[in-house]
Amino acid sequence: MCPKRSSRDSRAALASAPSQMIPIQKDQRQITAILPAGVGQKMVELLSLERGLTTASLHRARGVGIVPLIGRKGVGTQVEWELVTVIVARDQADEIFEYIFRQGDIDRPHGGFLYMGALQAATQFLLPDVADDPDATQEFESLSRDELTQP
Amino acid sequence: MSKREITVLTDVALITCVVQRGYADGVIAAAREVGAQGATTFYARGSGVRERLGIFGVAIDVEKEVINVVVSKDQLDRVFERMYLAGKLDTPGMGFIHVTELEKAATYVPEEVKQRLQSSASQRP
Repeated sequence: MCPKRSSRDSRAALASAPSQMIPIQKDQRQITAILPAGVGQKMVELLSLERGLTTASLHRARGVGIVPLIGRKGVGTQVEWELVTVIVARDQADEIFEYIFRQGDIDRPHGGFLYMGALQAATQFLLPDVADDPDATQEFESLSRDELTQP
Repeated sequence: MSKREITVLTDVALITCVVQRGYADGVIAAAREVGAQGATTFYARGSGVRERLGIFGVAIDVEKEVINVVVSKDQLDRVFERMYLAGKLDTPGMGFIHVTELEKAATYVPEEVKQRLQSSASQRP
């Protein structure tokens, strides 16, 4: 059973939280790209490898919109899309927005959709520094790509 | 290769609607009837009021569908209202809808649509 908590309790908990301990970042933007199936995963990899962004995430969705009708009416109106969401600082948001637009090849019919909105606050997403641990690094490097991508 | 300019859309908003599984298609159809161009839907697992209703919460399905619709601010109120009514969101436990303001959006805009927009903008006093 979940403990019942009123919104007043939540506000009180937030107010009493040691905010100076939480590294809150203001001026962050959330960019969401709706990309054709298969393009999203590549985009997450590109953002990580070429832009060093580890805040990208991916999930799949079915889309309804202006898509070509295949065969009988109605068939093919729902297609699979991949949604990539990435959080970036405001000063690099426009550049990343354009990067995703071009790399994702959105500027073509049925190429997808891209939008950006402001966030109230976000924390940093830091990854553990495995380079300091030679055993962990060696173990990671010995893994094949398939092993890494297996859930 | 020459780079095409990005046509940025402003004055847009994102409507996010969480409904019980199976209700999304009806909500999307209602949104499209009043001008929404498209929507994406994905599944999610919900919690909250379910624990407080019925025996073991069987009255409310734990599987949810989340609908995202990007609309212009001119259409926002109309689409929001239709989605709310279509999802029967005034019934407790049925779902939840919210709007997020967006700074900008971009997609493929056909050349003829761009020209039409430019000509209508130039005719404006």
